[in-house]
Amino acid sequence: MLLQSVPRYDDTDDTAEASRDWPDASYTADAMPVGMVGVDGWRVTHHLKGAPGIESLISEGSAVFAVEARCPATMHTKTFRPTNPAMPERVDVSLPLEMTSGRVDLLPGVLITEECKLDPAGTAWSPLGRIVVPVGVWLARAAPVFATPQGYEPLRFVPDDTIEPEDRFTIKIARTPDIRFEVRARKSRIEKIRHSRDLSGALLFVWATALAMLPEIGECEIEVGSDGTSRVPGSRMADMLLRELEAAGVTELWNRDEQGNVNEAWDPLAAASAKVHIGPHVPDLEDDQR
Amino acid sequence: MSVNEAALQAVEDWQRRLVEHRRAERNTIERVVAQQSLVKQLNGPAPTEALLDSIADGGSGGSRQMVSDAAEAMPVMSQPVSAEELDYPQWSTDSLIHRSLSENGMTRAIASDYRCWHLVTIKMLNLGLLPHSTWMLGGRLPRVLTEESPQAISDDNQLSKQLDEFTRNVLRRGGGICVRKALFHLDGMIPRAWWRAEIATDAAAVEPSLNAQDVYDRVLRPVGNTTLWRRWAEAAARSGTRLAAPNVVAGLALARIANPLAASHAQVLRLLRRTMHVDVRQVQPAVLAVLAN
Repeated sequence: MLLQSVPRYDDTDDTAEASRDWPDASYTADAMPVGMVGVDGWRVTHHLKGAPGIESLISEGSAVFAVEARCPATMHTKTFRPTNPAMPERVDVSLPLEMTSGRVDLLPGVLITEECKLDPAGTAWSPLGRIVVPVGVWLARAAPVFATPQGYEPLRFVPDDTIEPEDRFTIKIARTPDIRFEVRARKSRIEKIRHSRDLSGALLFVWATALAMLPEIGECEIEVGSDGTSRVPGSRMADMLLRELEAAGVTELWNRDEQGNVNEAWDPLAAASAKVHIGPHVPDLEDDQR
Repeated sequence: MSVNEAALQAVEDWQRRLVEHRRAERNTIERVVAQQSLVKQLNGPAPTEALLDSIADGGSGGSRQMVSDAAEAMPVMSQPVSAEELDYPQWSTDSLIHRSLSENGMTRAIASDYRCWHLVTIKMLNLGLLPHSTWMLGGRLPRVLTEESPQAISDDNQLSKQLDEFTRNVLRRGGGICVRKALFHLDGMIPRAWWRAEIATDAAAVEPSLNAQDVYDRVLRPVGNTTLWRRWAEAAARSGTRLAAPNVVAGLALARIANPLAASHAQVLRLLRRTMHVDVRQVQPAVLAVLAN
């Protein structure tokens, strides 16, 4: 059964295997990073048009939009399906950080979940009538999305309804594996933080609190090279943050002098203002963390 | 687990100083100096110091300490392995290496970085968990390679080739030589032992009729240079990890049990071709075994 040929729409750029049996179809997908503690996460949204045979199988429940996540470095691979029946085109992908390293390839596709009959109308297969398609076949593949590892996202929001309502949030340093700031707050407060993108908003205070912790984290120590350039060899996240702040015009950073004293001009609130002003990327929450 | 990026970069730079992807460039004088210094010191009583000195390459004490600290933070095995166990891998040794390292914090994310494995090697040498220096060098070091001047070695193709081989042996008995990142699991004796057992354990978990040793013996046990293990690993690297899925590995093991005399490369190729448009995780290993045969 698995060897049986079926019409398919393949847009993976693999020219040897690519086929577009629905010539008028288009299939794309986009991936947005989502914030979770200890995992690499993305929300993949599928956009399929012009392949009525495939679309009807999806609406009947015989096929689903799915995402095959592959990490070439660790050879870890897993297939994800939609978790919200009301939004079948949305697939949430989460991979534990200890199972990924570097690039993660997200391969969107339409996967057959139960044996069914495909209507090939609109394709060259039409004269054959309905075609039986076995379970496990990829009926459509969109171009792969090469997802950026999430290891550089400084903030991770974690809903925690055990936090007292009067407490705004707590921040602690997490090492998973790079340094990041784990922001815990009640779910309703996280929503407010996420949507406060102006300079007086709660997000500013979250950033300021997190940035104020930088001088005390050994891995985030700044090294100044002989050419005068600064870098943070112990943490890629902090190194990227440093470059982002420098690019935004923040010249006073959390470096220490020869006596080990932190630069007195380091102003976490000013740096946070620059960071928020830059246009923060605030990751969404993962469904299963809500 | 957070691994110091600067220490990893130091290891990467170190390897680049010692060996070049293109062997034609092996005999530059700078490279010969670095290689000779490493093998000479490694031949002495303090192999850990030899590696640390070589990585620091005369850099500040701070950078040497940084690498030493990063190595100290790495997971290691809880008991030593002998040269024979490493040179002639068996399930008993590979599973011991895998279990012991995993219990101490080794993950796929760490194991996929050859630089981390070099740090692991430094710590294991320091704790006496790895065999003697001769094993690290891959044989007895000819006196000429330590006593001749770097210029003389550089000028002599035979000698520089010999020195290059000893250096590569040291790297392969550590974390491996990173030529092609996708093939990291083929290089480095301890990393590949860990990966073989990791893959076998995962595959056995999806097929109740198999245990990890079955999978290891049928698919992953390295015998000679043209083993199914090597064919599988190379194909897995090329096929974007589809072959690395536990179902596929278990399917290959079942295919070998059903048809042990079949050409292993043909089984791998058939599986690759026949699962092109299939989500292999949806397919039972027994079905994949049929496809392989």
